[in-house]
Amino acid sequence: MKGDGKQDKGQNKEREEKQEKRREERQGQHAKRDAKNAKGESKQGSKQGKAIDDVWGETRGRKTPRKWTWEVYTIAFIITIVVFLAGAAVSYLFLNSALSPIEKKMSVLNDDIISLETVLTSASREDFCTLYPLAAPSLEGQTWQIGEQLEYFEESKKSFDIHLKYKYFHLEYRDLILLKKARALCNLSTPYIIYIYSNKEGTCPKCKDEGLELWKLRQALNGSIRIYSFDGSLTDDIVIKALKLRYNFTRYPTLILSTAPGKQGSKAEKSETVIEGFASKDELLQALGLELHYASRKSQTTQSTTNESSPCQNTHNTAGKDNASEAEGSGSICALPS
Amino acid sequence: MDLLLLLLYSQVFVLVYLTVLFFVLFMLYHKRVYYQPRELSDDELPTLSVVIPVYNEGESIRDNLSAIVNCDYPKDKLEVLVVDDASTDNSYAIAKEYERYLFIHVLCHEKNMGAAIAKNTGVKAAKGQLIATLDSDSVVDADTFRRLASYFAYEPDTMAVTATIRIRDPKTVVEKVQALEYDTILFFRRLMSLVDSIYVTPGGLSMFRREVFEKVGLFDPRSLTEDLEIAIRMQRLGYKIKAALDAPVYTRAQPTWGKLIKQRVRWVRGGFWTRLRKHIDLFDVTLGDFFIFGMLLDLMFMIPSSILILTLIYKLVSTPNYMWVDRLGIPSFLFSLFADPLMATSLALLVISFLWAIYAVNRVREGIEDKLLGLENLPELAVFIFVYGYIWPYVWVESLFKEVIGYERRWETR
Repeated sequence: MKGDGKQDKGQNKEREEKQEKRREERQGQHAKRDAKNAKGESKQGSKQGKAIDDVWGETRGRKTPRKWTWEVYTIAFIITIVVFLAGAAVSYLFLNSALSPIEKKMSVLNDDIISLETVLTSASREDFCTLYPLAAPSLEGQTWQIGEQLEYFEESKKSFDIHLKYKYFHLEYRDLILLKKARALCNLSTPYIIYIYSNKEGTCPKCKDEGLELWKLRQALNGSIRIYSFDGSLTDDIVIKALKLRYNFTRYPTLILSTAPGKQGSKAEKSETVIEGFASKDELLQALGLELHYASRKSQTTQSTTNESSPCQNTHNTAGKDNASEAEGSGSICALPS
Repeated sequence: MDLLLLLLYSQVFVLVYLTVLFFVLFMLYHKRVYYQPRELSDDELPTLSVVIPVYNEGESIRDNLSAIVNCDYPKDKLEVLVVDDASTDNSYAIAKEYERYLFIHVLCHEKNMGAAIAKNTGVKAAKGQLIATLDSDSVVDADTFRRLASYFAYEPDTMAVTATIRIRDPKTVVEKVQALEYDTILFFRRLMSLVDSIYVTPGGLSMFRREVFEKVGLFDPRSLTEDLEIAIRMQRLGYKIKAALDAPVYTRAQPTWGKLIKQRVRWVRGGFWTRLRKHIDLFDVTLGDFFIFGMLLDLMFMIPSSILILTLIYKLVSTPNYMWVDRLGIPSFLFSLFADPLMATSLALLVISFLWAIYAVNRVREGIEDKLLGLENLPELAVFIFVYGYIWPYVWVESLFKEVIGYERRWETR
């Protein structure tokens, strides 16, 4: 580049033409002015001429008085406040207007759950078992979508309304109960995971990763698994209290997985596997006994090892509260590599 | 509200404030922005010495000197002093060819001494009432010197004038981005001259009264940016520096992103050294507008911009994949821009800066009858606004690091 020294001829020519034009204009102006000065018609001209003569000779350096142009700073400050507040107002309005669709969705979900609960309590088992599988995909989709959006709101808006979250947990819990009833009464084998996490600062560094694994799991199973997420740190909520009583989780994340398929009248549907600590998508598939559906690396014989403790899991079966103490004494968490 | 969020909001506030500050300056004094003094006639012009330090410029010096030979400054009032700083290529030989013009003289150093000392050699030998320093890879228009000289005549308190430094024939994206940057800088420098706060007399081309070197002294060879350092010294004495928008000089852009970053690191290091070491006493509120625009402005941009840019990058990178899906019917990335007040205000700032930059560039181009920005300039505009700004945190961090550890000061782009 430096060694080249050749200019773009086109741009050069354009520049030279402009310079020539300016030179001609200037010569014209100078000629007019000189003519005026010669006639003595321009006092201004002679004054300027004298001023110019003075300009080069003597020293002109004078200390510029320093000043604050206060009006500039003040007006700029006011405008900045306005812009700032406008930005905050726009996002507040946007956020609030965006929240209203979520509340509407929760209302629709609530109506769907009420309908099924009504059928369950007032209609026959056959009616419930016919209607539930038809409604299940919609319930799953709605619950998942609302959960994602609430999570996003919570992350982006610090003054998030926590009661919205409580409301969501209540809907989830009722949906979970319906699912368990359906598994028991209708011989449904829909697997589920109850995911207890914590958003409280410093209590669950692995929870974000676990959330991602559950998202991947749902994608892999094409929505045929039900995932219910609860923030275990919100101990004021009645649903969280109920889950705490049942599962006595003490660490985060805690995952409660369904294992054997439900059978009518069998207590096996209450069989759940509890995992304390991080679990990857593959480990969850394994624990759920669903790995074969997805041509996983392990063969069918490894299913028999599902219930054995792997070095990095603390797993145990629970059948109600009775085994809680056993679970509690089972040992430490291993955080699994992501 | 937690402390981190408060910190981030305050950074955004500062940046919005600085952007609006220039806008208000323009709105209040816009008539003075476009002022161009009448050009002086040949008789009215003073004697002028042009000092050109040269080090391994090769054929570029030929373009430089040819342009001067063709300029319309009266040759009996013009003196050109080419100072060869021990070039190892044919720069000296090429310059010597031009000694056939009686007003061009070639001086040389036996060993390489640096740009500042080369300029000082020329200044000491100069006889003109005005002394200009010109980079050897820059090319002037025919009337550039005349226009610059005119500023001294019609504002007699003026002690130095900076030229309209533009990029010569930009072709690649990196060159076009620099062209935009230079045009934007010109406009903002002009605004700063309205409050007597110019803090650099660019080496590309600046013109000084002789008296400046007698009273202020010569260029400081310890500085990486001797053009900035001398301007701060001039401001210390209260000398006025003006910015011309109608006296173009065309310089070469840095050809690659790597070289561009190196050059910017040199500039910023020079600024750190000048302000935070040599002239730290000028952080003085009694200096009025100069305290803000001349001493504090760079720092006020640097710190919040770095914090904000790094925060934005972190936010984008740390968002898990599934958060990018459609939320409430709009892409979540867009959603996050509006949902968070910090992001929304940052976006507003970006939009304001974008429009302001386009306006600034077009005003400059209008003044010198150059083509205005159009749709064909969108690629470099997009790179300038959305990409170029993100290299600055790195530039600032590297500069600060090198200055703190006392890394050797040398012109790394040469």
